[in-house]
Amino acid sequence: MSLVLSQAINAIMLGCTYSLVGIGFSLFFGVMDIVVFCAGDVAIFAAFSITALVSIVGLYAALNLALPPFLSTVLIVIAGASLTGVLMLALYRLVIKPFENKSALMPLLSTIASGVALRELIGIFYPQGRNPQTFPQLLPGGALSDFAMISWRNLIIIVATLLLVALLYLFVNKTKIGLSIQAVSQNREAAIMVGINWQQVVLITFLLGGFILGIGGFLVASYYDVVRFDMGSMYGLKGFCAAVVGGLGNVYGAIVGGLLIAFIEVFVSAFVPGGTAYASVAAFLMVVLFILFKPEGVIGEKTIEKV
Amino acid sequence: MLKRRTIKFLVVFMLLALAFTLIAGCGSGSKGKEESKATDSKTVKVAFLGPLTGPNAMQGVGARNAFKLAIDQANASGKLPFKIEVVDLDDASNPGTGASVAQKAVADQDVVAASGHWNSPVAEATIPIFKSAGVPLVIWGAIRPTLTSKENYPYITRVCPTQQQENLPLANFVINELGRKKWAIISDTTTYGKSNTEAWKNEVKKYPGAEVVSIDEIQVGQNDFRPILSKIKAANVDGIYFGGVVMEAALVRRQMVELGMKDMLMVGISGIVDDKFIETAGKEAAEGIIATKPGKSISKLEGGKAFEEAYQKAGFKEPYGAYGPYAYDAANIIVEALKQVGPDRNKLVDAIAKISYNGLLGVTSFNEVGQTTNVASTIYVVEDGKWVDWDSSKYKSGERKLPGSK
Repeated sequence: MSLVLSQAINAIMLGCTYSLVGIGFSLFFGVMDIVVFCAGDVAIFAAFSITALVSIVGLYAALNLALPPFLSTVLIVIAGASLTGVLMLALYRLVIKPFENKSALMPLLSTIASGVALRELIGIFYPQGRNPQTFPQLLPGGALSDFAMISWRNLIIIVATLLLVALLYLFVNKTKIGLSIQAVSQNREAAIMVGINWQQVVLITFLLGGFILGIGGFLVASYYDVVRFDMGSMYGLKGFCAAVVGGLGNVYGAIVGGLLIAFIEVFVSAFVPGGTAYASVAAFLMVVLFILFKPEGVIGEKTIEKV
Repeated sequence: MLKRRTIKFLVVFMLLALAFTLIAGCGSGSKGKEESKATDSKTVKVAFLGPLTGPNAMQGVGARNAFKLAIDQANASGKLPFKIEVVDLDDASNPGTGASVAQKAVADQDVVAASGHWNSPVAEATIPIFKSAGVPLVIWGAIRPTLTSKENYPYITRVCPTQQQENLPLANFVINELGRKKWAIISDTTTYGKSNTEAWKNEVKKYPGAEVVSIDEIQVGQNDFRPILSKIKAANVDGIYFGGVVMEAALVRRQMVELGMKDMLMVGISGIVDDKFIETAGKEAAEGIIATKPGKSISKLEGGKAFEEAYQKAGFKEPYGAYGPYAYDAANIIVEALKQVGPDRNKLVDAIAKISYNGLLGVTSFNEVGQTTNVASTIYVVEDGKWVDWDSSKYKSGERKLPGSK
């Protein structure tokens, strides 16, 4: 019983990390109707920039002199995530905007390509970037209870994910900008007609999406204790699957999707004999089944296409 | 919200992703045939093959330097009636590249012998080429057991121990001396990991009462081992055998500590003996990890000092690495055979296979499949953030206790 419970906690942790990237995918898809495939690499970029801020620039140690550790952690994460938001804006300007109003396949390919470029650039220019880097442990360690695996860090990761989703919910539903994002995502033409500045909404979405991906990258690297330059491709793929299973375009669906994929992976590797090597295969197979038989996702609404 | 075409595209995409994960880790080999005749000629060339670029370049370049050093020393000694020239070829850790440079080597009639490879899949691809050309190949760093076999004898010989020969002393040590009987295996899905799993299973079987209770395969590049470790924790084993390389090993150890399994022994072979392991796992988590590495440490070897001095004097920038001494001995074995029978491919094949050479690593001779019988190895344990020879550690003297000691 305790084994099942601790495996469930493993799955929830993994699911949280997938969800955050899934949310990024869904946000972009909802507003722009395009799949931004470099999301995983962007998240890992955040993890690398936080590593750089802490171990190369020495910001954490400097901040710690003046502030309590908790606050300096928050500041560093916000700095890293903001950098990532700016990167996302730059990516939008460089590789997505030029393909506006063209086939949706073009930005798909250009973002895949820029993901590869980003990954390789980290590998080349980060000092010893091709070797795995130990991620600075900014979250408190230590176990809360010996039973199962409830540690401070895991608790913080879960709470941070929930908090982020709650804030996103409030932002999208209660603020004017959030409502305009919704309006654009539902019907771009109508939104433009009622006087919404469409360009501005898109820019804000990318900034916001980049920020969320940045925090996602921080949380995932904290959970793994290590960052690799090529981690983003698999991480992005899993996040994309989370978004598809949950229903592309639906932010809350991404959470459900992330958890579903994580549960399948963890339980296949824990309870199927010799299943560890096939955990990812099982997860991807489930995604294929979803796309075939329930393409709108777990909680995405079914839309009828009008001719 | 999704259009039909998008759905189709996504299905294709996901299937591709699926296929990719399935085939990841599989290597491919290629075969080649080359006609050749042994001819006499005045320049004698010896080919060196290894990863000189790419992720394993450090291993290949260090071994190449040691190899060159040995040949230069032989040329300088003036005991040979001809000069030997080293042709160094880059296999880039890639079987395809390896096969094509091997073709190039055997096509040159002046090349009378070769030494090669750190990666076993690359050796697998080039062995048929050397065999059919009748060129002797002395392997200096690839450790898959099947590379030396009856079919490949006498063309293929190997100066370094195989994985099996690495696992043997480790099993003897932890099962017989430490009395740990119940084992969980974690290995990666590469052939390196798979043959480690096999070797360890076979070793454990030899000891009455010892058993392997679980085997888990992980992917290289995987970051999350908590599901596997939670399972192993519940199985209550005496130790975890890790048959993979540095990074995954370090993460496994780190996550073991996180899951409250600090008091469980973890052992491995040469793939994890690296300072990076301790750095990533953390000094405290790594404490008491046991691993074996083939060979005695250079400082303990007779002639080790002279080798190190000569290497420094030759002005190589890169360290000679774990397999440098093997490449050095491989080169000297080829030189010794050349002294005996001269530059003739056919005669060299037999001369190398039957050689008994007293070199840097001790006396090397080859058994009936061409595998070295010189398998000295050292047990290491992590003590205060360093890999320490077991015999001089505080664990042996009883000052400290290994994880899980009763």
